[in-house]
Amino acid sequence: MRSPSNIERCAKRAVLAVLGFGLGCAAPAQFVHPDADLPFYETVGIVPFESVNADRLAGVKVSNVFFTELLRTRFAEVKEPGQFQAAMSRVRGGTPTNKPWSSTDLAKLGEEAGVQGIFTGIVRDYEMVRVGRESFPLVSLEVRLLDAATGRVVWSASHTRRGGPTMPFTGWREIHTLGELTTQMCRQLLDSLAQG
Amino acid sequence: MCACRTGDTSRRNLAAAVLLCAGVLSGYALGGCAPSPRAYEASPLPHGMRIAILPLANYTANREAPDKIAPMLLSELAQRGGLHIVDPGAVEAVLAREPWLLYDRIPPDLVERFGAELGVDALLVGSVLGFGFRQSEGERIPHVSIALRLVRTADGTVLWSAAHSRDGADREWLFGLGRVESLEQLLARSIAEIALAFPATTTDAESQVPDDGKRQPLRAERGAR
Repeated sequence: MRSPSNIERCAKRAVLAVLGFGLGCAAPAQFVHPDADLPFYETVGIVPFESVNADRLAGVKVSNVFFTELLRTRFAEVKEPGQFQAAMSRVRGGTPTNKPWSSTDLAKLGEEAGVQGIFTGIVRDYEMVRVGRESFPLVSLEVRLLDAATGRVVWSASHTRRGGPTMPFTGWREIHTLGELTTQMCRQLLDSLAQG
Repeated sequence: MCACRTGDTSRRNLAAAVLLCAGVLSGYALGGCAPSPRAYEASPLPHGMRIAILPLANYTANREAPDKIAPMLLSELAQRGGLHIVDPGAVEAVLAREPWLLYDRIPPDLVERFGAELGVDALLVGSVLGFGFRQSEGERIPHVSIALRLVRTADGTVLWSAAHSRDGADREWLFGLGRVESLEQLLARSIAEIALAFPATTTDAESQVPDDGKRQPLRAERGAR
């Protein structure tokens, strides 16, 4: 019963792998401000990312994964999300925290939360896309580190990636879930921060 | 004749060995790369640490996901030596008095109050990011995605944080071998894997939290003073 569909699946994987290889291997685009002094940012916070796709909760999901990956880099001390959320609520009141922040509000938030840097982000795509009879995760993400005192962009990086096989003609290291793809993308984005 | 036969046998053995190696390598390449949990660990946890597991925030369409995950998490962590996991009934009783909707974004005053009322040193909080099935080749394949973190109640320090995502086809290689078809089975495996990434506990003599170089006394010890 299963054999014919497996043969079909293998053939399809091969074609998809070749077609999608370029997208799967693309490196993140990044910007580091020429005057940035990254070691200055000893304590940072993460504003839940904004979601501009069909999944309105994608921003929170991605920022939860980003939190763990940021901690793993040991780039800076990261404010616990509950503590940072409380500071955001004190500054913003009833305004949704994922809406754009003015430099004045960012400065207030920096003081209130005791952070020098604030990560913000936008999740443009976060969905499973169908290719033939297969479905693969697709995530498009942009993250920025803002200087809390001035609102200046210190570092930013963006990346779009689709799951599926990372090696043509095999299922080697195939990424099936949005969660795993998000984790790998956050790691890649933060690698560029560590190098910057 | 004898030398010729010996040569044939050697060639056959060599071919068999090459095929075996190729098979093993293919197996590893195709099926041996399932994702493992990505975890941050501040330090080993003090022996005897008291932990309360709070309900996970649910970012999926499946309303039952947190209720399925919490008991499995409790069971896995309770099996680890050196930790005391607070009875879920006690957690429920405290949460009933302090209603809060978003359990993965708890304000610091509430974290401290939960800690005091439950008599715990840390809260395990987190969220379900994915839980369900995806369609592949007309078949339903389960997937699970979870983020967890352990927060010290005294000061809100994150002691451990992890994210883990698994898919039923992660370990599939040839002809559907290695595929997990049941969501519950995949969930059980995912929880077991993420629990393995939980920090080890130290002995009492080694107990320390190196963030500020000072050992934080356990709540039980603070109460005794």
